[in-house]
Amino acid sequence: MKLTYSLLAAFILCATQPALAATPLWWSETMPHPDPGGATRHSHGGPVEIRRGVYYKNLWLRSGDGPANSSHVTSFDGAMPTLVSVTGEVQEIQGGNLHGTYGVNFAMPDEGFYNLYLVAESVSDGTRQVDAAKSEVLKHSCREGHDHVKGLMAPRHLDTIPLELVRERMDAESFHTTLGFGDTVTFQVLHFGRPVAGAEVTLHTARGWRNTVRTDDTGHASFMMIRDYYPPWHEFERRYRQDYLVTAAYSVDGNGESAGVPYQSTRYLASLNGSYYPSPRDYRSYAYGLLLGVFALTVTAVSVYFYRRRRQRRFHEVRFDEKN
Amino acid sequence: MKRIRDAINGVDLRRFRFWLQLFFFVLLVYGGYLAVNLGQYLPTFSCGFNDAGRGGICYLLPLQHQLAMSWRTLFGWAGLMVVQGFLFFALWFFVLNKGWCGYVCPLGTIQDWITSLRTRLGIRYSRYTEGQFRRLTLIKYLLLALMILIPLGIGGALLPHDMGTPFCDICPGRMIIPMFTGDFSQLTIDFSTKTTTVMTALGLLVTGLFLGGAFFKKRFFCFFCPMSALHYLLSKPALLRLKKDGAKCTRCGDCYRVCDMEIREIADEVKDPRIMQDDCIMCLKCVATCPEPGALKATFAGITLFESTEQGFIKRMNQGHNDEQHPH
Ligand code: SF4
Ligand code: SF4
Ligand code: SF4
Repeated sequence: MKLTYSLLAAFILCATQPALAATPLWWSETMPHPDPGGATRHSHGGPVEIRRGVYYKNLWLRSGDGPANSSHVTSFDGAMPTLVSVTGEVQEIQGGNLHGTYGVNFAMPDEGFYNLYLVAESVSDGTRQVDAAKSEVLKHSCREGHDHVKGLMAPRHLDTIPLELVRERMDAESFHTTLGFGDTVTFQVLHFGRPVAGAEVTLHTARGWRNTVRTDDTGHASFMMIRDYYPPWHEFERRYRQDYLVTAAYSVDGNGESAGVPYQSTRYLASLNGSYYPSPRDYRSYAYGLLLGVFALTVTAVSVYFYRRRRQRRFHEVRFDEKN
Repeated sequence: MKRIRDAINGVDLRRFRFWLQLFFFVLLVYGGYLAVNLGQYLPTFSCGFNDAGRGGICYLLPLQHQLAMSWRTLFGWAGLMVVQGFLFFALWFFVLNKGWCGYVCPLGTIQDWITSLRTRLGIRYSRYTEGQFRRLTLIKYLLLALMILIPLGIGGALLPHDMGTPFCDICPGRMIIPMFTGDFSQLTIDFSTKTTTVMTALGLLVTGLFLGGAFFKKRFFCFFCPMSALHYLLSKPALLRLKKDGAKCTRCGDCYRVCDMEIREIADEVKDPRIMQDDCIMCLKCVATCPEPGALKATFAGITLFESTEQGFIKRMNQGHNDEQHPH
């Protein structure tokens, strides 16, 4: 009897579960293996290579549900990646073997955000899956100054991308702003440039935590970053950079054919990678700071007071009137 | 022409300075809200940590950043950028010389405001003994040397990277100036590493010392300021100058007694006309207090801007007695 109930429960569960979607493709800054030549430098936009003063970015294609559960894609034969430069120039760039797996390397001569896209399509069981992997990469060097930053902050999108995630800017965001634990990050989902309501948006953190929400009427979905880093104090790094992955899924019914294979519905899957850091709230203390400041102030005042008392007993000073 | 000159020489310097300092304070601390941007090579403490309001950036911040670049970069193409930055800094400085300290520096102005508060409370001020003065005045050169050597050591991987801007870490400007735009985030101890814990703790100790010191001692911090040391290395060819005609000086000592920086040479030196010393902040209080016509003067590109006159002295003495109470 007990067994019959269990089987029934299992059947109901399977019947209500949506068909398991193929895992998303996404761009990652993480090398397939540790940096062999040590050519990578840290910059405000994450790891870069600097050759003759020009910044170059390496990105690798990965597949899987979040940074903790993804593998690097060894080869990819689909469409070429598209790069949108800071000046808005759209160009196809060559991907290929980069330190062992599929990746791209591109120059970032200008200050600001570069968007990299890769669109892939496949049909399985009558469902067309359209993957649109995006990465938004910042190029910033403090040596270029900071006067130009405000004009370059606005996020951009491409109307030709089937499903795109756009990260909204935080309040007073600059090239130095980083996302920290406890901060809220908001994304907008666009279907060929138009906001999509009801799309399923999932945020995956570096250690595998995830949360799914649906977009509102304007296509927006927000998440609060959770604390995801618990080292012993002596190993703590305040600039510990962790990857997050955010994906958006949106399905549309409609018959069609892709490369000669018919389908009845299309599932769009967008991905966007990003990074986050420990929050200053985790390692900065006002209480100790103010305590020390007040302590130093008090010691100074008390020392001056006693110094003056000691000196006054010895001789009578004739002082100049500072007012004149 | 003579009337204009008399009017300038008879100016109420205290009031003039107060308003000019206030103007520059607003410009450098709140100018950012009005899109004022004077660049990042200013020879004054327009603190870069005051993100929202700054009207320009104190040169010491980019200087330390630049010097902390890896040696390969620093002694390669980036070296030119350091030289270029220094040239911009020097150009700004040549215009006003140490007048940047007496009239523009927000941290100097804050110290003057603290002095006014003390005066109003009727508490007397402190002075150093000559021996203390001679020793303390060297500290700023030591700080300047450390401010250059530590980032260089970081660039050469000899020192930890989280010490990147060592002077900013302990500069009271970092804690105090952003507070004027409502940013209190610098009043914290950063426990993320041992180095940052020590440096931010030192910073807050220095801030407490700054507030207490400036209350009892006029321009307390300026004695130790590495920016002032850097200024002095460049001050000889600057356009604004302080000059003394020793033949007209009676060595009454008024200028020395009024000097916030306790510069004895201003009264004692009668041979060298270029009287400016390394601690001088070019406040020109000495010129305003000198009763001997033409003994002290401030010139700009050789043109006399402001000089000591008897009438000016008498006028200011009367003003001083009318609108201030005695602190004793
Ligand atoms: S902390 Fe001090 S030295 Fe650094 S930028 Fe601010 S005012 Fe300048
Ligand atoms: S010496 Fe004083 S006034 Fe001059 S830069 Fe330093 S703190 Fe400012
Ligand atoms: S010497 Fe004159 S100008 Fe210089 S700090 Fe003293 S009073 Fe001011």
